[in-house]
Amino acid sequence: MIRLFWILILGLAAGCGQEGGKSERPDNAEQFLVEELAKQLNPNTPGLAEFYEEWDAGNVEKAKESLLVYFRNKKIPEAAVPKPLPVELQVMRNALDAWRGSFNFQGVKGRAAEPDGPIDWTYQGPRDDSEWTWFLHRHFFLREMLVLYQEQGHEEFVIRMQDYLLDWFWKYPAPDHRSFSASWRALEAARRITDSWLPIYSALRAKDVLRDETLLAIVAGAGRHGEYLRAHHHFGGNHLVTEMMALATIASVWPEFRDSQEWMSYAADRSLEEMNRQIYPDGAHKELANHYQWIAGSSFQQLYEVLGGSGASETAEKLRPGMERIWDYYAKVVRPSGTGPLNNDSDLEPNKEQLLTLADFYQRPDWLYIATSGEKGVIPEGRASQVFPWAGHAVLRSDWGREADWVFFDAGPYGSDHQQMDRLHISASLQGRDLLVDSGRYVYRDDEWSRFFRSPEAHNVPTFSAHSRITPDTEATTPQEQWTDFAGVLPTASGWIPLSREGEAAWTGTHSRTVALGDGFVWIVDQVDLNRPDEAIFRWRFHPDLDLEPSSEGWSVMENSKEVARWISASTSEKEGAKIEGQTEGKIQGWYSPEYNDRLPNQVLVFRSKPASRATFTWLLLASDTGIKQANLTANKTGSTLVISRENGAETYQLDFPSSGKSKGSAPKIHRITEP
Amino acid sequence: MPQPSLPVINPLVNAVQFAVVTVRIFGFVIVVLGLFQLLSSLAATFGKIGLVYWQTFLLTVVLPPVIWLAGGLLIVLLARPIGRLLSCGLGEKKPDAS
Repeated sequence: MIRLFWILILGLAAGCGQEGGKSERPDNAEQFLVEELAKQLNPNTPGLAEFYEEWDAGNVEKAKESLLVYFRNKKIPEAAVPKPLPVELQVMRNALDAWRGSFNFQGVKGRAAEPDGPIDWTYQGPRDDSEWTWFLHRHFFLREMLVLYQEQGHEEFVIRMQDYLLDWFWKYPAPDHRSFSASWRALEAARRITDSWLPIYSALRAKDVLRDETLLAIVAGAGRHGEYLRAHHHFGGNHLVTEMMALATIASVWPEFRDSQEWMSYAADRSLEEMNRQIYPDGAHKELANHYQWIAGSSFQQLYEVLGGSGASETAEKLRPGMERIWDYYAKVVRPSGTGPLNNDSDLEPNKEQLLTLADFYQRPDWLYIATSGEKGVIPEGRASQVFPWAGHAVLRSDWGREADWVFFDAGPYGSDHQQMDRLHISASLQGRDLLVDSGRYVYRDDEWSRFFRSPEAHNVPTFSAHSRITPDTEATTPQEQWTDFAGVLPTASGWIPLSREGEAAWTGTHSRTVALGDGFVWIVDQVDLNRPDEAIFRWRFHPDLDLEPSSEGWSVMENSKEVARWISASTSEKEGAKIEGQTEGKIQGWYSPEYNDRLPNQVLVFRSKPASRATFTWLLLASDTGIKQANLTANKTGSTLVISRENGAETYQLDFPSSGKSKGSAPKIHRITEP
Repeated sequence: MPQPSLPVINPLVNAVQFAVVTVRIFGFVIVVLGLFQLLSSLAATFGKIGLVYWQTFLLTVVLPPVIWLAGGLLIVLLARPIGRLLSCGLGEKKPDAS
């Protein structure tokens, strides 16, 4: 809250959203750049003595030649340069579109330039989304054009690429204040220099096709970006990590700048601070979104590699324990199918695929085991189910294979940024098939779609007619204890959320939830406890590949017309269930977003109960083809009973709520009454 | 028959005293209401505060009644100057407009 206040105040003081002052290309552009570099570079750099001699003597042309020879032939630390883009159809298509003046960002294509004209850098794309403009200013399309040129060898691609780069360079000099404009928001500056300009410089600097003016602009631009990122970086969060990574990268690739050493040590110090500030001891990034775990983790990773490759190995070693914690969390939340959870503002990240190179880098055979679903490496020690007590995340898992049963349960804080109202949400997969899902993030806009994807209505949690869910703190200050039980008859996790009546400050109710994972089933027990009766509305959202059909015992979950799971429920309060899919009339409901800008209709079961003060609701998701013949579920005021009948006998499980009633210190216990 | 002399009461002083007492009572009512809201909220919320709810609890349950309570106390403490301010002009004689 305090940070937000300062962001607003400083943002206003800095002229939020204003461009950093436009300028035009001077007639003597190359001389202008040489002069700028003469001021930026360190005269004591070995190899630049000749340049400074000529420059001091007033021999501008000779000085320029000397400078070009130096920067065309200098070596670059490999660790600092991003790995080349894969030569894929989509990359080539994007590059070709960019050459023609159309740009594709996050699945949205827009024309920002005529085929042979300059880019309109203020264009917000066909959906009028400022996010699109930010991506335009990151210049990632230049790197795609580089791939096209390298593959096809046509100079017109690289000529156009340089036209774009120089057009931007001359139009947007760095501002002398913190800017939130698309051109010089610090995150865009960081992405532009590391993900676009540096790979172009690295690949083409020794080739004649890279014009002298472009080369000088990239080097002078690196100096501008370094100065800007050092002085006007973001306040915190994943942005700051990326910005410090970029600052360290500039210092590592261009140690010739006067301030490079100071930039490197500043980036290293801030990164160490941020590692402690942004990463919980259990490895979760405090934004608590799998997508930003990857983004912040990747920035830390690149920084770690840059530091290690540029002689700052002592600082790098200090980062290492934190790095392993970040990736350990990333490994252990993974779904059997290979993707990570869609918690908070997340896209569907391929956690297992991304983990492969990390397992190799850190020599972690247990990560390799997870990434390959047990085909290679060494099985991780301990139980497959994991608890992250700071993040408040519990992952219940049968094993590490592709066809495992998996539950992701969120009983943690709100998240330091990119929050969604998802406390007590459950995502579940059985036999490796994704069944219960989170909705994703879809867009960052101030509209009804964005509000829906952030709301409790887009998660597997109940809402109430006259009560609101209380939003938890943004960060945890201590780890939560005794809310999971992996040693009992079934691995379980529990949590609760306070409720308040609309318009009242007091918290006059609670919703408590326990989830247990059995062999081929997920059992969920909800208890609602209110001072005054109210209706509860439960929503259970299923993967978009699935269809729901009513059945004698509840609902059948179908895939390609075949039943893959069953959904059974019981409660002490009468309730009615209905199916909703892709609803846009009235309240938005039934939508799933695997990645930004992409949404698909999915089927959601909605159950509305009769008003009650105290009620128990219990739910069972049962995979088909697991040898379970029948399942009986009952709910009562003190808990719930589940009877699973298999061919070789029946198992009866009893869940009892804690006797202390409102006390939330202890989680419900599950007992097995009869052995199978 | 001579009438007994009555004590002379300054109508202006009466107005000031009345205003001060009214402001004090007003402030006191706010204090009582704030205190009541605080205690009832605390009683209702008892047992529902988890580890990840302390900040929210302080900001949404405790702070609003505490602000009322503090505001009421401030009014009680500043009742005299506030009363004087409010009673300004109440006892003044104004020349007839006609």
